Amino acid sequence: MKRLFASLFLVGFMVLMPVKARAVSMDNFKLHGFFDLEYEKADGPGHPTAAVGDKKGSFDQYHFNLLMEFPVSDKLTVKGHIEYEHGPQLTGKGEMKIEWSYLEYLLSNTMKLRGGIVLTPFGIYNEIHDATPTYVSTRVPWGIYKADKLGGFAMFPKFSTGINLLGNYESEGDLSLNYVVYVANGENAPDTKNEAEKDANDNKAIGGKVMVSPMSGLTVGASYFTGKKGTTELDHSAWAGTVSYRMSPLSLRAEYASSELDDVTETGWYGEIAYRINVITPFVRYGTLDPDDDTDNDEWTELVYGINYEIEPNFIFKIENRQFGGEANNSKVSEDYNEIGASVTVAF
Amino acid sequence: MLRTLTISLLFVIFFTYNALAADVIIVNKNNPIVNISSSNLKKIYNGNAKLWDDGKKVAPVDLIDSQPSAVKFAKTILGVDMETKRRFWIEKIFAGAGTPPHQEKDDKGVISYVASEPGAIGYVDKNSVTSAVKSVTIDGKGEF
Repeated sequence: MKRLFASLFLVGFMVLMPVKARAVSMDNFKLHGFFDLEYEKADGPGHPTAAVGDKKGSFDQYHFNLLMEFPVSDKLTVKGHIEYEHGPQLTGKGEMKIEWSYLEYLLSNTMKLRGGIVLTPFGIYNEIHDATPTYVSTRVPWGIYKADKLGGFAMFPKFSTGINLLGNYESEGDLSLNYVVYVANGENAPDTKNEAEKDANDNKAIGGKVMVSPMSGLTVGASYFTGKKGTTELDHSAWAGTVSYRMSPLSLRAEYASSELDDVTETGWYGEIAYRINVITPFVRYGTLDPDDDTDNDEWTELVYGINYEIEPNFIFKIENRQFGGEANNSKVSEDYNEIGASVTVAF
Repeated sequence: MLRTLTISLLFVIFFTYNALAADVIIVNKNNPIVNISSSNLKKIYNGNAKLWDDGKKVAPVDLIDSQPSAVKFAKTILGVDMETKRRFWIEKIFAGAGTPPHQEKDDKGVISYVASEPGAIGYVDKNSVTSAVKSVTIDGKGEF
């Protein structure tokens, strides 16, 4: 009887005295995303034994990405970006990952702190590298941003887990500046500990990026990264110079990057021009990668030209031709080949 | 003849009115500011200023892109056309760098939002302003 009475009292207490949980108002919650479907067909393998070009031609449901913002207070926001790549399945096909997840705290209008997983601030493209609605080609310039697929090594770690200090300055005139500096776990070797959880060594990677617009439309910038890779603590440093000019309908971009891992130095660069004519934007890009400055005859090149057609705002059809050049001593692309690429991409 | 003249005159009056239609900046009635500089207004609407001087959150509200006032605001204050503005926000969203201001479809919606949101700031046709909100000058001028 006493137990029954105690149970009833407890239930009554819980019903009459609810605990208030602090929740984010759905009025302020923001959800965005993007989706794309690609098609590629190559006329050659690009390598005699390990083909990089797809001669069969394939559709690829590449990205279904969701970006969330949870404003917790006037100064504190939690942000997340989940990526589903190539239709992930529980059987191990495709890929699902966190592109970024961090809290962001406003210290002032010109400075904020971020803590968590971010896309490493480096150059124009890394922080938007999967966001196909934001650039004219179906791909980022691989010579800098995917050097590991072209016979080189990743110029910098794609992701960083740590703390970022970032912000902006704008003058009364046209001058504006954006900056970020960070300290992070750095890189672990592939198939080892997850950098988002544990650092493989006691060295912390540091880096930063600054982009300056001295006049309307023109931006020049520089990026830097340095750290030690994996348990063997290989020294790894990279830097990049950026220039872009945008005055509608013209857009110009160019970057040069150099990365040194242990005693190997690789360099890459590209130049791109696009010109919007109503809803059609033709573009052309040329880029290169030298995976090892000390090895001859290993360079990779790309010449990409195509158009974007804006079917409706934020719904774009892209088609392009890619001419790849691979020299004999490149370990991944040692033969020239051509590829047609097409995609539809939606931002929402 | 008289009918043609009347219709022509009405057209002239209509287009002249629209050419001269002026917009004003409005804030929540509890906001103490009486003037805002065009450079600060640009920072707010570009997502580069998120706090008022008292540390409270700024809540800018925009009109939808099809509204003439939105086009005028983008050109006059932000210095861009609508396509450039749209691309600016696409890049900013997908870099995790911010999200665009809240949008309303007309002046009535803007006024309702500004009246109810403590840190809100918006722009409307000067003839739409009601006592629910407060007008402020921009660079010392009453309208833009």
